[in-house]
Amino acid sequence: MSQVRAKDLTKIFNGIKAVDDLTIEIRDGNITGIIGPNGSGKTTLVNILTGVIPFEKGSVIVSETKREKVKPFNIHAYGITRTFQAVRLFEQMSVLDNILVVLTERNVFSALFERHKIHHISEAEAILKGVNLWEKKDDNVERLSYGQRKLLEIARAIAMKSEIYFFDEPFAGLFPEMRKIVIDIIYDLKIQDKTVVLIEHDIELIRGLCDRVIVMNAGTLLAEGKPEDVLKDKRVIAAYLGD
Amino acid sequence: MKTKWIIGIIAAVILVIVGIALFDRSPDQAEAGLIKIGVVAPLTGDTAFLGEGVREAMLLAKEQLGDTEYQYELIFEDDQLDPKMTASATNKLIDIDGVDVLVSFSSGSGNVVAPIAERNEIVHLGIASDPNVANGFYNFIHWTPPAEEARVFVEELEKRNISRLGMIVPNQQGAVAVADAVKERLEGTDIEIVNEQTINAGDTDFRTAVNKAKDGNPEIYLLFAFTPELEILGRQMKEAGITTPLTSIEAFELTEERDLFEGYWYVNAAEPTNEFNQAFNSRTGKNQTLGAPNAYDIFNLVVSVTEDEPQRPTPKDIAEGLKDVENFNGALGNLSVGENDIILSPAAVRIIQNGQPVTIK
Amino acid sequence: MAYLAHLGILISIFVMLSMSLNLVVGYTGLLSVTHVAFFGIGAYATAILLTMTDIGFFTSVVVGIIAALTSSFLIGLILSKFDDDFYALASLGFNIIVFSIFLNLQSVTGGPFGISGIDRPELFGFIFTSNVSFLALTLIALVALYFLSHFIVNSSFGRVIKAIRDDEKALQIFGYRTHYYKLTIFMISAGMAAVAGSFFASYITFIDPSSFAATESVFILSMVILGGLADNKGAALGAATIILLPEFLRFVGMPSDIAAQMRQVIYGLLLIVLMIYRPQGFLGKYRL
Repeated sequence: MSQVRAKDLTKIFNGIKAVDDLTIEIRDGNITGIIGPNGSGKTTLVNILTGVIPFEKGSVIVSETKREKVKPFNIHAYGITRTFQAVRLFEQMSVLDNILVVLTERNVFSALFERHKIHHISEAEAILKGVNLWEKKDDNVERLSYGQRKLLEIARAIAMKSEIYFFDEPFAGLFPEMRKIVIDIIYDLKIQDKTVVLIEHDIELIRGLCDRVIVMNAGTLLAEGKPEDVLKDKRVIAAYLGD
Repeated sequence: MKTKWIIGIIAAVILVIVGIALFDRSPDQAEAGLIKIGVVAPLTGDTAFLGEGVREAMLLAKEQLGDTEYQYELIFEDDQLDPKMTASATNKLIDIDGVDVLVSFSSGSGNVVAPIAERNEIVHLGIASDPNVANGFYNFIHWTPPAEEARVFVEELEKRNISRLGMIVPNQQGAVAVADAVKERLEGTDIEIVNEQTINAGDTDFRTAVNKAKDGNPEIYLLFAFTPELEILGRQMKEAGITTPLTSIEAFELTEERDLFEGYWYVNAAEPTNEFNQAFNSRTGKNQTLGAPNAYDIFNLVVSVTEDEPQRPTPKDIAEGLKDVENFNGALGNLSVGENDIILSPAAVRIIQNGQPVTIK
Repeated sequence: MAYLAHLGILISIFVMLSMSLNLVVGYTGLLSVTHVAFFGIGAYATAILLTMTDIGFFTSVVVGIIAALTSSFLIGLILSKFDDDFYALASLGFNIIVFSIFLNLQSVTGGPFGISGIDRPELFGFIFTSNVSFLALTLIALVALYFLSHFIVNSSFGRVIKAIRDDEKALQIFGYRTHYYKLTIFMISAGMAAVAGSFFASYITFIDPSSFAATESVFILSMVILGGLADNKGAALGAATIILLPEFLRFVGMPSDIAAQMRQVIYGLLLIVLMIYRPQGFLGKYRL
């Protein structure tokens, strides 16, 4: 059963179709990879599915409910969370606050009268220890290295305890030790029967991690299926992988 | 680094307090024979030219003093016509400088100074049109009241058989006060205000108001604006093809571009004497500004009242003396203090002839 | 003593203003220049009620807060649709609208004449006539507002508004309807500004529209930036510096014919030097 589907989705930027009549499905409990050349519309697709940008045509179906519009503050209720291609943390806040902000009350009035409690700190501690950032909990995010910021963003997504995770190039720029942490996180999510979507360029990672692969080119669907099948597809090789 | 800044700020605060302590003057230490007059006026900002005029006029009056029983010191503080700065200047003059008399400029500043002066029992003379500034035993104003200017203006309209009046009024306290007085005076007469336009001080484009002002076909336009709005309005009315005569209350007296208003009559607050005008011009190289002759008179009134006292007068003595002033010869003519503590001076009708104001009546 | 108390009162009033604006500008990152409008609403509420009715000062403060909350709700609803530069421009527009109402609604506000003869507060027969007693009352209000601000910024709500400052769009992904937060903090800060306005009106005993022009919003903003964004102590320091600096310069001996002008020059130069060597403000931790 698919949890997230896009049907006839179109997004136009300045007359150019970044996503062109696209129909895809993200299957429940799978790790799905989305690959394709630069400018193929991968990030645009994820931005549409997570409400960051609106779309001109088509629809997004989440858990069998059709949505003509997706607002960013609604995706949390749909069980969706994400990371960004260019890391988007709360730069002038501490590492700990970046996690606490997703653990605490969403309602304005409840938030006004809430102070974070011991259990919030414990939860944050567990999450940050999972990415080796607990020691840096009081540091401002600005002072972290690039890799640490990537890990923190992933940790923040984990803290959401969502059903569906969109990770946009989570491995880019990471050292091998940090890559291993992210791989372990993704496997953990799969064990918990969560749905993970990875935008990636590292084909070996795609081959090793993903249950399914979606290949995009020029805003359209080029191929989809199991990694071993898709990665041997001549069209995919011609458009993206090369000889 | 942060600590250094905090220390720096604390040091500045300490300096203020030390400065205050050094300048502090308690009533017990009042120098015998020295009367201090504190003046709160706009010495910087858009209206600095008016504050400077007040300052020059008072310094002129002080210079012209011959031998006197007492000595007189003038202390000037800038307020930029900002109420919080007015309050600061006033508190400083009373508490630190220990002044006996306060002088303020404008109704806004006067309204801030008046209650402080009354509370501290310090004489206050405001160069202001708002009669509220004169509330209380210690408060006075020296101005040709709007009612007096309106009286003379309406008489002149009747004399010239003008029955349709157009008005262009900026949204400023002084202008609105005089406009209201004119309207009140017109009640019961055959003169009708056929058109009234409101403009905003600080604007530079009045063409919409000018075009609307043509409605009703007034026989004369009463312009309440002052420099620079007055000149802009005069030019834009000419450009709009308006040849109807213009008049004003006070404004034509103060403009540097009198050629725009050549041949037009207007009403002015009391005309300063030639002696004052010449002395002021000789000192500053400029014509007198609004309020300058009033400031000159205020200084001389205070001196006159003080010199009458056999012993060094208290502010209460000075206030009582001022209330009894009658037929004092000032720069603005023959002055008397009315029941409501307003130092009255009569309005005059003048005309611009060859670029110069000439009194008709 | 009266002069020192006067300075203390002015500083306290402007610290209230600076702290309240800091919630919007420093903590939430919204460049608002509409703040002085709420200062004016509080001031006019107190002025009108104290001069035209039998309602006392403390009740007028509550009325002023309600008026500010109502107007800020309406203004904030529109402002929360804007970001960055457009937010600043729109907020300036509202400031001009409110100023025009003060200037033109003559039957209520006195128009350009303003309102004079505003009484000092009275409590159980005691009238806060002297500067020292008024200072004590102002300090009580200031401490109350400080604790309110402290409460807000240290709550989960406070964390969220800081996140809005850093990346509002990213925060929305995590289920936050950020426009509600922006509206709420805008309203809270407006209410605080109205309290400062009530104290200002009763202390000066005369108000007119000139105290609430758009330029005054810039004046308050400069206190927040000078003191340092997102720090209440910084807001206090910024307000104190900007109020005290020209007063300190009154005591620097200069020839009377240039004294006022030279003070302005020195004041301007000092501000420029401060911003060159400490662009984040005295106690600044954050940047806009």
